[in-house]
Amino acid sequence: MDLDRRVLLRGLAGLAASPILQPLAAFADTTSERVIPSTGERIPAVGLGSWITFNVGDDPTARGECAAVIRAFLEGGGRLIDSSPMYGSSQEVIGDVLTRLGRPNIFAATKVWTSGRNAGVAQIEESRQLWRIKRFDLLQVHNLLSWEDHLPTLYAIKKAGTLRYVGVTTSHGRRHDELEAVMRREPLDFIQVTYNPIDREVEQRILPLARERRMAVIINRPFQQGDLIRRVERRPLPAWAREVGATSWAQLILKFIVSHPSVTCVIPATTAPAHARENVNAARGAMPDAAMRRKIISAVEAA
Amino acid sequence: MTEWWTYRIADFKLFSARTYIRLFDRYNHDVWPLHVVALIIGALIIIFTVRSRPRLVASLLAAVWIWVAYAFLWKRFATIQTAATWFAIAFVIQALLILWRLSRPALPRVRAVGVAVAMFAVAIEPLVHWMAGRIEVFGITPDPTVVATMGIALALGSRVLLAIPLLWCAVTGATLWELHTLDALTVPIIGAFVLLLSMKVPK
Repeated sequence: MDLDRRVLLRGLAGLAASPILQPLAAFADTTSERVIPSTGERIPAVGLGSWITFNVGDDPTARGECAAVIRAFLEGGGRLIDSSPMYGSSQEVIGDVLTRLGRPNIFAATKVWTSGRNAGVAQIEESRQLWRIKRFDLLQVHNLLSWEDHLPTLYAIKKAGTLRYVGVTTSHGRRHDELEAVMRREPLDFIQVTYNPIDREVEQRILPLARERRMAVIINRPFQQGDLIRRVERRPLPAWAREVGATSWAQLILKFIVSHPSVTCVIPATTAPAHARENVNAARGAMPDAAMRRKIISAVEAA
Repeated sequence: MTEWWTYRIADFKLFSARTYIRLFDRYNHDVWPLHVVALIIGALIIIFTVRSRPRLVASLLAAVWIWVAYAFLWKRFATIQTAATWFAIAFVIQALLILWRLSRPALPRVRAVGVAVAMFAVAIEPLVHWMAGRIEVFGITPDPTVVATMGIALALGSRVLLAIPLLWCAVTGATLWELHTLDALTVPIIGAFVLLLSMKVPK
């Protein structure tokens, strides 16, 4: 029964991904979830990033604000939370907040960011303790650092059953040649790259390759760490944004990102609970088609 | 770090301006009224410098560096900046360097421009940081402590004591630049000025 369902889901995912149905799927997609190709599992298309925003140290007031953001995100239907040992106290803050919220069901994604195999093993264990969870859903090699050392470790943890998915990350459009080489030779479940209406380099080779290799794609820096929002917000939201149900520039940009057929999940970070809710909602309702996507690029570039 | 060339300063931005300012606010609140003591120590250091009493300067100044290393860098800043542990170690090394280089009975001459830099750090620089939203005082937080020390090193003619402070000028400049604060370039500019002046110092 379970197997049948999985086969069915894969079949449906394959159907949706077929070129003929693409425009139709783009228009008709009213679900907020995307399929992880390697298993068929579905996750909400908007996750939550934690770079800068959750690194608040031991400040109790700021930790309370982080809790409000995560609560709003989860109540809105979000699940994937992404962090890294590089982000200062972010993992500790997330662990603290999740405990306060009664250990909600999340999709826990973090990274390993160090040199050398043993250091990687130790860092993963430290991260697990900081998050205060039994296992991670996804572990990624941060910015491909020392990936030759870490990927065997991650595969071994996955095989042992205490990890569900393995991935690698880059950001700011760097190291795409190396990323491509790693994608071609390693059986990754996930990759994570930067993508937004301005930074579209991944459209050329990385996103098509992810599709070909059946890898899920997480998108970081959707708003260029806020710069993109500050840039476009000087202009009013175009009237046609309503056609895809976008009520803000942030939603329009997120809809642009998640409407790319290779994209599984986008992980905007925020310090405002209202924005967390608004971001999660961007995955719902109508999605831009090819023509609308071009319109979004022009509008953002013109801003 | 391998592949370091693929990183930019922006990648090491770890916290928001608000988080940084709140860190200072909470720290200042916790250690008040040590600011008064620190300013008195600052004034004493300048007086001992003018009177060319390097040993007295050394003991007070080294104590200040160790305090800032412990109370600010190690206990507070390290909660949001992983590298702050290393900064703290560098500050302790600077304290030891101060004790080593300034353990001399008296010096032939004291450069007035160095004294002026130290006075600026103790009396005026806090106003610049205050305008950018942070209370920074000599002996309490790194920036005025570093600038004052560069002044003292210049006044007493010790280039060795400029190395770690100049590195800090780069660290704080990069940090504040990424946070878009108004005072981002203040300390780096003073650092460059001191570096230029130090080249004219007879050893």
